[in-house]
Amino acid sequence: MSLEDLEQFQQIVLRDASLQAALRETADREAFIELTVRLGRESGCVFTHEEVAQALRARRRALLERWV
Amino acid sequence: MGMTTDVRQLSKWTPLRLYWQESSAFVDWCYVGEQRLTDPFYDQTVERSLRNPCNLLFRHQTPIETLGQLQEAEPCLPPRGFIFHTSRCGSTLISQMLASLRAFPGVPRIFLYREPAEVMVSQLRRRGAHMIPGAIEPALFDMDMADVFRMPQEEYVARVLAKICGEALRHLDDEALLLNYRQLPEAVWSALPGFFGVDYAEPDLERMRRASRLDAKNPSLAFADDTAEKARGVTDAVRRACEQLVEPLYQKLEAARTARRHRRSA
Repeated sequence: MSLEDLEQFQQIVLRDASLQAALRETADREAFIELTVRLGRESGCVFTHEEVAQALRARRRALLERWV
Repeated sequence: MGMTTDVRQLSKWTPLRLYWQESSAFVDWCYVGEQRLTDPFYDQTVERSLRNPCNLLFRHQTPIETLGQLQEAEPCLPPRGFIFHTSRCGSTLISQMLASLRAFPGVPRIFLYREPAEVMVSQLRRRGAHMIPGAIEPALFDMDMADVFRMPQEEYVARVLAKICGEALRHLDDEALLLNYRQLPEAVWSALPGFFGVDYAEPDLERMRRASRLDAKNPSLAFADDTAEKARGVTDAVRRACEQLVEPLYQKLEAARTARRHRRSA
């Protein structure tokens, strides 16, 4: 359920420029993860610090794959 | 992850990559905000943007058809010109010099090339992705996977370079300008204005001259001509592969370039 909540929160953020601006201001990785978890909870999406960290690692790995 | 369907959300985002999923093509987007695209290479801009964890975690993904929808909703400037090249031949320099003027009139094409042995020496020292055996589908270069790992590296690099030059010759038409690396940087303000149909004022010319004195890939450094140094790096293996596979095509490019120059001055 919590990974689904993270995906749901990702869609909420992508539709909300003010949420994007708030998250984008936090360049420090650990502070960003904490903020993401907190804002996620405020939006009704519950996920853990580790799940966000894993998602970041997965995103980075996916970008290292071959470009089309 | 869900797909973005509202193109209005893509303002200040640029395409990052295409990818395939179950036989359909999709676009991954990167937030660039207000920053101008001034890096020598787009992937440098992307890399800097993605250092921000928000830009890494929260990215739009759309079906490829969204590109057409976006163009209808917010038409962008048409491409003004294309620079095709053999690599390691000053294409970054030209891009930087043109970007310094925001000058992209018309859609003519340049094919920029260089003495093939010099390109090969540069590629063997530091490979572009297309020069790494297996990194790009070998069939694009008329080879198969067994071939690319069997042959000496000099032969692979020469075959890729030959394919690029061959395709350039095959697609030559009146819209294309051939440019040799040794014509740079002066050709940018002598040959390109007429080709692109623009007039450069003196302040524009001075800005281009200043840009040409910098290393195009690392603008914090001054430009240094490495032609002699590249020539010293040509091994017997490079020379053999170059003479057998690329030099004949290079000579055809030079002949075509010379013939066009004579036609223009007639």
